[in-house]
Amino acid sequence: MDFSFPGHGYSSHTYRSPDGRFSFSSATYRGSFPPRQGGAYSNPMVSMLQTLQTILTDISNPHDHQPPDHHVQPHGQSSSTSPRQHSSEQEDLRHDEFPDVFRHLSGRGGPSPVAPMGQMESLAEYVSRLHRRYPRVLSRPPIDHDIDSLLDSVRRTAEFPNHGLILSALLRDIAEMQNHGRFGDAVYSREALDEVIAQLGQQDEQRGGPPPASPTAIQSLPTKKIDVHMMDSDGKAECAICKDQAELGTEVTVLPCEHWFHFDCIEVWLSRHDTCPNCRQSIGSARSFTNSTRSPGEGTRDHPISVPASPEQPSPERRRRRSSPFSRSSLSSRSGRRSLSRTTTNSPTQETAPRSRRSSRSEGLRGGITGWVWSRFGGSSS
Amino acid sequence: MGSQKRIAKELSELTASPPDGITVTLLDEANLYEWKVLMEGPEGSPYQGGIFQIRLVLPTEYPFKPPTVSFATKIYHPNVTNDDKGSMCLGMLRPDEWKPSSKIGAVLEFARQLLAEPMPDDAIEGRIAEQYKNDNKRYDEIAREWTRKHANKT
Repeated sequence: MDFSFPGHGYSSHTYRSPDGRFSFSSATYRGSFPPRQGGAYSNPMVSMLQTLQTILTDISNPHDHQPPDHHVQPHGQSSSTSPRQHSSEQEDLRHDEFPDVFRHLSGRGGPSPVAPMGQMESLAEYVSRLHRRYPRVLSRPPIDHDIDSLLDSVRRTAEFPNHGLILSALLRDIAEMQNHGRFGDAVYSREALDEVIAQLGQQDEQRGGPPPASPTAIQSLPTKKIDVHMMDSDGKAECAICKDQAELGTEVTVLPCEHWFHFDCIEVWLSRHDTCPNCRQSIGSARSFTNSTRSPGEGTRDHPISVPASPEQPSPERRRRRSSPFSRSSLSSRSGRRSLSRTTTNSPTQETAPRSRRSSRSEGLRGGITGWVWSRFGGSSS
Repeated sequence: MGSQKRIAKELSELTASPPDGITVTLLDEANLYEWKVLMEGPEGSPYQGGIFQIRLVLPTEYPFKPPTVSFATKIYHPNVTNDDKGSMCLGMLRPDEWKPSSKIGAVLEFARQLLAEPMPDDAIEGRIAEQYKNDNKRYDEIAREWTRKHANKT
């Protein structure tokens, strides 16, 4: 949320780690707060929070459409027209004693970095209240991926201009948080910031786990096509990572321990940890399996697999079929190189079912505005 | 993201044929990554007769990163933190032991097995582990008492 009030010596910064896994914000109040003179605080955050609380309180009481009793403070105009009343309201909002409702929304303070979703319940609740309160705006089916138009319409339709502004900021914040898969990373106290930093220190990706395999070793792994011997007694073969059925003739990557996986699946794992997902054997430790005279990427030639039901038809220019839901676009250079030394079949057995990014099942599980927010900004990125 | 497909698959499998004494649901049906698990205390253990609510949280990188398992119901056990988090320390979920081929069902069955047979040498609550080893009768009493008090099915 970009609260920028240059005239008031207040600034807010968001830090994000280069890989995008962490982000946190800091707010800085420059200068000193004046002693309470007529109760007029110049801290813009206070009036902002107050307004936000007003909105949320308002929204929480759908039957009470009365405008809020107290004066809504426009940002940056803290010299109030009713200083006395203002003073009494802000009595409880001094320093970091933020209203509970805001703490609820922003509080990363919780000690559990492994369970970020807890925050979502309350956010979802607020969003659904927003939805009830501003149905015209929020129920409009999103057509494109431009959140700004949505925010603009919120801004225009809200009863109070300030409400609209803050609502849109709130929505943007939700979008922002969802985009990075973290919730409530904003911190509003030194202690909370320290806590977050301490947590980040403990969250090291490679903590305790085996080191990754080298990209070369991963690229050099031989491949073969699924044959009848690789299927179980039910005539099925399953990639142990994505748990998808691998059809007869699907090209898979074989590890030295002879366990096989979709290349795209195993590549993600091996570039984190050099262990077989089934037996934990390293791919670097048993090189004897791979023929040293062979150049990388010619596995199919060295391990020819005859598949009686589907005679091979050379079609070298055909790109390898996407055979895993864990595909990464960054693999394109590899695909290009490898495709030169491969043949693929056109047999129907190689066909895999069309994939959607999200299964229909998970689509179906998400409904309403929270589902929409989630699907737009949540786990659909790959 | 590919993880959703696998998670949805595992969820439907576990719903269709749940393991013994284990029931899974989504905490929020819009969120595949947080599960509410009801686990019956294994027979013959001091947890017998109790129903324990467990929160299973899957990272977005699942299955490349392990899920976490925590007890929402208070439980007296050497391998579950005796605090408001109730984190369960499962060997197979540690970063150096996690394998992406492990399924959620296996994790939950392992967790239930750990209720039947605590692993005091791998404990997270040292005091309870000591008691389990040295004064098993007392451990049994307290665990039973907590089960009656906190994990009572009603």
